[in-house]
Parts: sequence; C-alpha cells; structure tokens
Amino acid sequence: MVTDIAQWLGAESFINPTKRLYWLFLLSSFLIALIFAYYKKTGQEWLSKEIWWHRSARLDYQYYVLISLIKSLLIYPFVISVTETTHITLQLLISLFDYQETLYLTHWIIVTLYTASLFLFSDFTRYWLHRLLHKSELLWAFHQVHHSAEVLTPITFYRVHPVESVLFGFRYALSTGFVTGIFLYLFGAQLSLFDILGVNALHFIALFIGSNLRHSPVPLAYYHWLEHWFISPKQHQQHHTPAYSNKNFGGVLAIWDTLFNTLQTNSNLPSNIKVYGLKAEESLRLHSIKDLLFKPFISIIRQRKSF
Amino acid sequence: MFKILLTITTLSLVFFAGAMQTVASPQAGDITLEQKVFQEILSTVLIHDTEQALTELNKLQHTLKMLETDGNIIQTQKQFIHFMTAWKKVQTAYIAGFLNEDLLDHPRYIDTYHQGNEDIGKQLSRVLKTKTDVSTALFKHSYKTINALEYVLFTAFTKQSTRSIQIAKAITQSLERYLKDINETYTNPELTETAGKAALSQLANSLLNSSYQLHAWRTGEAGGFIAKYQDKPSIKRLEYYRSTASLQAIHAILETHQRVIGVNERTGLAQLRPNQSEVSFLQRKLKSTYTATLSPTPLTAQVKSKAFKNLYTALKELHDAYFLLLIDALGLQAKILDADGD
Ligand SMILES: [Zn+2]
Ligand SMILES: [Zn+2]
Repeated sequence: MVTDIAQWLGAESFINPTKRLYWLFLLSSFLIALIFAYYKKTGQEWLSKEIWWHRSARLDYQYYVLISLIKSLLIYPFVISVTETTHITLQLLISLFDYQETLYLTHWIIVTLYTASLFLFSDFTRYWLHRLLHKSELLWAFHQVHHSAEVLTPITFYRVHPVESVLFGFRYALSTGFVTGIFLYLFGAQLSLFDILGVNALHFIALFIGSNLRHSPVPLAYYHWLEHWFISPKQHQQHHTPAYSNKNFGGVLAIWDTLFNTLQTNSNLPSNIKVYGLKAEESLRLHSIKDLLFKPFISIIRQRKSF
Repeated sequence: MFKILLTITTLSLVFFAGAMQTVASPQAGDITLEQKVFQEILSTVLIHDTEQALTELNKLQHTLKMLETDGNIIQTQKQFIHFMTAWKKVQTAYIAGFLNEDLLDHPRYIDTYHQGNEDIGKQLSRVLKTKTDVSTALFKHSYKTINALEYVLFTAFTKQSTRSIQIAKAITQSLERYLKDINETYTNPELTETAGKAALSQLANSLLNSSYQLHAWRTGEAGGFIAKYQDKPSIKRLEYYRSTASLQAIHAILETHQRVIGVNERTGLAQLRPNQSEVSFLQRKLKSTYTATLSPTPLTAQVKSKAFKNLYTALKELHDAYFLLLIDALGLQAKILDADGD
C-alpha cells in the first residue's frame, strides 16, 4: 500500500530505471553538467534560485505529483498494453501470410536486430507524434502545456497534459507491439532483448548520457556534424523557444529532423537562450494546475466556436 | 567545491558500474540454469524418446520377420502404431539438426507428412508391382519413410505378397539408420555438453511450430476449418488415416509438449520461469488438450463431429498460449505513459 501510494505520487520514478528521473540518470546528467561547466568555465547561474524556484518550476513540481496520480489511477488502467498489441500484430501476420516455421539465425544477430529496430522505430514514431502535436491545432492546445514552461528543469519533462500522455501511451504500445510481433513471427522463442536493468540497452544509454539535460539550464550543444545525428540538449532547448518551436522534434536521434527538414543545429545561433515558452499572442497563460489541466479544453471550445 | 562534487559523482557512478558488473557476470565453471535444464530434458525426453523409438522399431522388424512365416498382419500393424507414436515424440522435440547440421533434414527423410504433394500411395503401388531389386526400387527418400511404411502395411498388404514384406523391411532399415544418427547426436557429449539457452530456444521453437501444425494441419485441414479447405472436411487429410491412428499421433505429440514444458514448476522448461502465470496457463491448456485426445474413437470417424471441432479449437488456443508465453518472456514494459517525444 505504501509503495502503491509512493508510485501514484511519482516517488517511484527515482528508483525505476525505465523512468527518466531514475537516480542514476540524474546523477550521470549532473556529472556531465559538471564537466561541461568546468570546460566552459561557467555554470554558477545554472544553480540560481531564479530558475529552480521560478514560479514555472514550482508549478512543475506540484504538477508532477498530480499528473503521476492521474496517470496511474485514471489513464494506466485504460491504455492498451504491449502484450495486446503484439498479440494483435501476430494474428494479423498469420492471417495475412500464414504461419511460417521459425527462421534460424545466430542469437546475437537476432537480439541486435530486434533491439535496434525497437529503438529506431520507437524514436521514429516519437518524432512524428511530436510533430503532429505541433501541426494539429487540436493537439497543439494540449501540447502547449509542455511548451508553456518558462524555465526548464528535469521535472518539466512531466509537464504534459494527460491527453498527450494517453497519446504517447498508445504510441508506445503500438510501435513496440508492431516490431515485437514481426520479430516473434519470424524468430519465435529465439527472440530476446539486449537490455540493461530491464531497459532496452540503446534507450538506457540515451538516458544515461544526459537526457535530463534536455530540460535543464545547461546549454550543452554537440559538434555541428553530430547534431545531425543526435539531438543535443541545447537543440531541444531551442525547440522550447517561440522562434524555433517548429524545429527539432526528435527524441534521441536527429536523423528524422534531418530527413524531414526540421533540423536546427546550434552552430549559427546565439549561444544563450533567454526566452522559453509560448509566443505572446498564442499564450494560454498557464499559471496554475487548473490552467494546465483545463485551459486546453476551453481553448478548443473557443476554436470551434470561432469557425 | 567543484572538485568535491566531481569526485563524489564519479565515485558513485564507478561504484554503481562495479556493482552491476558483479551481478551480471557468472562465475567461470558454473553451470547455468539453462544448461542444467537442457541436460535434464536431453536425458528424460530427447535421448529417452529416441531410444524408445529404436526399441519399437526393432520390435517392428521382429514382427515383420514373423509375418513371413505366419502371415498375420495384425500384430505388425499394431506394432507399427507403437513405433509411429514413439517417432512422433522424437519429431516433436527435434533439435538434433541444431546440434549437428548434418541432421537438419533427417525428419524429412523419416516422415513426409506435409512435405510436397506427391501421392505416396500411387507411386508405391507401382514399386510394389515391379520386379526390380528392392534397394533399387526404393530410390526416392519418400519411398523409405514412415508414411510409405504405413501404406505398405495397411493399404497394400496381401498375404501372397512377400515383396511388400521385403519392402517394409528395407524401409525399417532406412528408418533405423536415421534414428541411430539422431541418437548418436543426442548422446555425443561434445555436441551437448555446453548447450544451454540457444538449444532451449530451439526446443521451444520446435514446440511452437508443432503447436501450429497440430491445429492447422493435423485437425484443421481434415475438418475443413482452415481457409484452404473451408467446409470441405476429408479424412484423407488426416496424418495417419490409413492406419486410423491420427489421434494417437496427436496424443503422443501433446504428451511430449507436456514433458518438455513440465507439468509443474520444478520440471522441464517451466523451471526457467517460476511463478509466471503464462506458464501455468500453458500447462493447463496442455493438460486439457491431452485429456481431450484420450478418446478411443479414431479421428477418421470423428472428422465431422462437434468433438473434433472442439479439439481443433483447443489446439488453436494452445498455439496462442505459446505466443502469449513468448511475449511475456520478453519482459517488455507493458505500458509507458511518459511523453518521451516532448
Ligand atoms: Zn520539452
Ligand atoms: Zn514540442
């Protein structure tokens, strides 16, 4: 019961390796920030109270607890699971192509292929769902919740409207089930995942090497060429500025942004980002938990009426 | 301040990496659980069943010898079914081709069920009629299979025919050779000593494929339950319709599934996943389908019955139970609601 409540309130995230706030990932991000600070001979301002105790950050902390509760009690029970989506994919494949005897391939090849496919396809669907959240007027009303943050801290990652969480929940189950269904169909019991602490190894590495810096005051940019392959923390921070919010939709990989022309590297941009948040004219002014949860709906109703 | 922070952070990361390392790497010389389970299944199922099949085959050879003098086919036919069910057990859990590539095609040399679409009866009746030397006449692999033997003993046998006995004997000799190869592979420590996880997943795949064949081929086709023969049942699509022993075959196959998976948490593959509900679900499905095949009525008399349809449905659910188990065994996070695209 106590652990259940801890989980509902989001405390469990710090000891769960599938979560971005897992203590190890916070620690590794912190280490990277330290090294970066030493190298750049700056960093004092990253710890300032202006950021971590900003009203936007304080709202994030409160919202984090509430959204954890909403997710575990109201959403989680109703989202489709990977077991179901994998099962559906398998049945679909069998009805389309008939059952085939399992193929034989050396174990490490299957595991590598599966682990990489899962990671790639997942990152690909993340990109498109994120891009859709910006392109669709309806979905943008919800995604604005995330973009309304005026300062970025690792907790801002969870400043997401429940509707968006539901969409990401379905995205996860569908993309994982799709890839897993295909691999099980082909290789049967030979299939296994290359994992670290139960997390896809590639995903784990991505989390380990500083994904918490994406939402943080640390403007870590990569080399120009590397930012064509991987989204640097600073590239995501650019995405949080009104001027570049239609760039850098990617999660871990930048190849989708490169491929579909939405990439913005940092090499020709001012080095310090000052303004995060929404454009003044479209700002929903989301300053309370109530605003974050309900204003998107109100704005959608207004949109409909104005047509 | 900076140096202190850096030191603390680095140290805790190094400590964590070290802890991971000790947890992850097994001690050299230790036998893994997978290796232990494999050895157990190897002796209680793979070797045991192959030896059993060889014993039954030798008995069959003996009855064939008797047949030459007394002309009483019934004894031989009965013994054929004993041998056939023993072979089904070997076939169901077959992984000799994984342990030794040379044996990849052995099951096809022994058994032609669902291999190609030649009419073994028509071809063999020709072979029986000619006067060519037996070893030359049986030039095709398919002429020396258990299916050919079934035709000779159940459809083509006549009291006058010493030729059919000669041919039956030649077939059993060929079968014996292949079964001996299989037995040699299973009993060769060089091939089996280090086998573990990979061999077990091959074994699981053999069962997965077999569970498909049980419903789609062995019942679905004859009952007209699958798209290709929709609503056109025919007993001729049963695996052993000539000897009316198809049900015994299915029974033997399911028995093998049960022994490989294990009937509780302490035997068979089930040891690898104690307390997993999908395992006990599969075990229950195996038990119920196994019980359903205890009926004394041959399938040839049941094809249009409701019981047969029920058997088909149960076997289909069994195949599904295998898949559900495999999905669960991957240990994927069931649901993630984090907006990881942000
Ligand atoms: Zn963001
Ligand atoms: Zn966005």
